[in-house]
Amino acid sequence: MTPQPPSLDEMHFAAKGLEGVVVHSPLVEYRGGAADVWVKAETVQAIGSFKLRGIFHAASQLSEEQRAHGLSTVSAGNTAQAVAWVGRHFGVPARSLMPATAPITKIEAVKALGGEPVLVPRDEVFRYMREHAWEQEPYAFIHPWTNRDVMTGHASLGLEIVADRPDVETVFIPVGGGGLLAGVGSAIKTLRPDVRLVAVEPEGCPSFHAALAARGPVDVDCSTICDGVAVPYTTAEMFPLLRDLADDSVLVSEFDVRAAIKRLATANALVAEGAGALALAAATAMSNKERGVSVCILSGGSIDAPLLAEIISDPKI
Amino acid sequence: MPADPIRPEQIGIDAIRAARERISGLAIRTPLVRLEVPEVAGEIYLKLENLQPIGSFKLRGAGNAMALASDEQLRDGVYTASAGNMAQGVAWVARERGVSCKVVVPDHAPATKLAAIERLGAEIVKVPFDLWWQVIIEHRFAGMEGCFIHPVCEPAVMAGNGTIGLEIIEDLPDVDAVVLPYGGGGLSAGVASAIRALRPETRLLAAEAETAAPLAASFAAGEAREIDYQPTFIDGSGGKAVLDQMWPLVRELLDGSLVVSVAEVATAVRTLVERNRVVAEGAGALPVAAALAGKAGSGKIVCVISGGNIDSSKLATILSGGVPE
Repeated sequence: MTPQPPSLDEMHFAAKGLEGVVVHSPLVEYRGGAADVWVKAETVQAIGSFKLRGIFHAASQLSEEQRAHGLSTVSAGNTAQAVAWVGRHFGVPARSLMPATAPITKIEAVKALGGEPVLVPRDEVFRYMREHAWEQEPYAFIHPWTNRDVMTGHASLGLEIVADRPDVETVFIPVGGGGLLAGVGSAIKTLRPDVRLVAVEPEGCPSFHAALAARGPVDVDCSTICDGVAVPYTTAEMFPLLRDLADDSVLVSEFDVRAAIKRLATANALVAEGAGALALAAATAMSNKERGVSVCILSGGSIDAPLLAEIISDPKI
Repeated sequence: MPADPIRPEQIGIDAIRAARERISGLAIRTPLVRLEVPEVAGEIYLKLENLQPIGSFKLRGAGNAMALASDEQLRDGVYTASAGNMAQGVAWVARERGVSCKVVVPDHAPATKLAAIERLGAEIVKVPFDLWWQVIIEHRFAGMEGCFIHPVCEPAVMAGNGTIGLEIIEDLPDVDAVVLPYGGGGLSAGVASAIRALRPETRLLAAEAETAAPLAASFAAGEAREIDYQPTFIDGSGGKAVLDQMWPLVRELLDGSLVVSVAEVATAVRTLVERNRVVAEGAGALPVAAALAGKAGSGKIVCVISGGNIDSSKLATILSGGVPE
C-alpha cells in the first residue's frame, strides 16, 4: 500500500523530536564554478548521512517493548549506520542485512557503532526485500523507504531547506529507494508547491527513470559507484508517491559523479560518496536559467579513502 | 617599524558581539559536531570553519575589519600579507565592496590557495618568505598603495575571529577545553577572548606542528622566541616567531601550546575525511591531532577546524596513507 504523505504537523513533531540528535545542517554555497547552487551538507550528521533523521524518528515512535526486540533493517550502508547509532542510543541490538559489496568504510562504521552487519550477496538483499522476509523475524524491522515514520523524519530536511532559502526554485534529490524524495518532497510541496523537484539517479542504475517511462515499476541492471542508490527497482508502494512528487527525473554519468565528488572535496571541503554527489552533478549540468536558485542534497559521505584518493588525483577530471 | 602590543580590552566581548552583527550574512554560523571516533574516550567536538564560503574562518575577521573601514580609507583598495586563507577572506570582502585587492604571499603558498585568490579577482605578489614575514612585522609593504589589513594583529580582525567563541559557548555551554591552531595568533586571541569572558574556567590551548612551534618555545622560555622554521604541508599555521605584539596577549589568554608531529597531523586529516566526511587542511587538523593524542586532557574538548584548503595531490597522498612533503 502506498504510504500517505506526512502532514505538516507530523513533520514539525518529528523535527522537534530530532533536536539534539541531528544537526540543522548548513546550506553552503557551491564554490566550484556554477552560480546560485547551494549544497545541503547532510554529511555533517553523526553518521555522515541524512538517514539518521528518518530512522531515529521511526525508532522513537516504537514502544519500548517493540524496541526491546532489537532493531533491524536492510541497507547498502547508510541506513545500517543510522540503525546502529539509534540502537546504541536506545540500548538495544541493531542488525542490518547488507550486501557484501558495501564499501568497507560503511561496514566498519556499523561495527564501530556496535551494530551487527549481516553480509550477504547483493541478490539476496533484494530477495529479502521483495519477499518481506523480515516478517518471519523477531526484530522490530524499519523499512528504509516505505516506513511512513522514516519518511516523516526525512521531511525535517525539507523544512530546513525552505526555512534557510525561502528563494529556492529547484531542489535536486538523489533517488535510490525513494525515502528521501518522499519525505523531503512532501515537506517542500506542502510549503512551497511552486518549487521544482528533480529526482536524480545514476545512468548506471536508472530504476525510477525507467519506471516513469514504463508507467510502473520495472527491473533495471545496476552498475555504478553510487552504491547508496543502487536499487534495481522502484517498489510498487513507493512509485505513485514518487511519481506525483517529482517534477523531473534526470540521469547522471559516472564521469560526472566523479567530477562532482572531486569538486566538492577541493572547492568546498566536503566529502561526498557517489550517491551524495549526484544532486550537484545534475544541477551543474543544467543552465542557471533553467534551474534558478538551486539546492542540492549532499545525502552522504561514506566513501572508501582509496577511491576518494583515486578520484581527486584523476587528471582527466 | 613594529606596532604597539595589542591590549586585551581592544578585543573585549562587546567588540566581538558587535562584530557578529557586522558579519552576519557574510560568514555562516558553522556547525559544531562530534568527532566520530567512538573508540576514543571523552567528547571531542569539531567547529567546522572549513565550511565557510572561502573554506576558512578568515572571512569573519576580514569581514569585520573591512566593515569598519570607510569608503575613503578603501579608496586605493586594500592589501594584505597571507599564506592564502586571509587573502581569500580579504579578496572576498573586497569584491563585495567593489574595491581592488592585492595580496603579498610567501613563495611556498600552495597552488590551490593562489588559484582561489585569483578567482576572487585579487592580484598576487609573490615574495621570499623572509620578505613576507617582514610585511607581517612592519605592517606595510614598501611601495604598495592601499589600506593594509593585517592578517593577525588587528583588533577588528581578532574581534571578528572571536565570533567563533560566541557560537561555541552557545552550542556547548559546558565546554571544558578549546584547542586552536596557532599561526600568527589572531584566531587564538580572538576566540580565547570571547571564551575567557563567557566561561573563564575553560582551558584554552594552542596547537602547533613540531616543525613550526614558536609559541611552545616562547611559553617554555617565558618570552617571545624565534625558532628554526621548516615549511611543511601544514602551510596555514606556524611562523618563525611569536609576534612581539601578540605575545603579551596570548601569554595571558592561553594555557599553553600542544605540539604534534607532522605525521600525526596527516593522520588527523585522514581521520576527518573518513569519520566526519570533511576536508581539513593541515592547520585545520592540528587541534584534532593534539586531542587524539590525549594532549588536550579530558572532558568536552572543542577543536576549531580552521580551514579546508589543501592541494588535491597532498590530500590524495594522505588518503593513501602517506605524509605529503
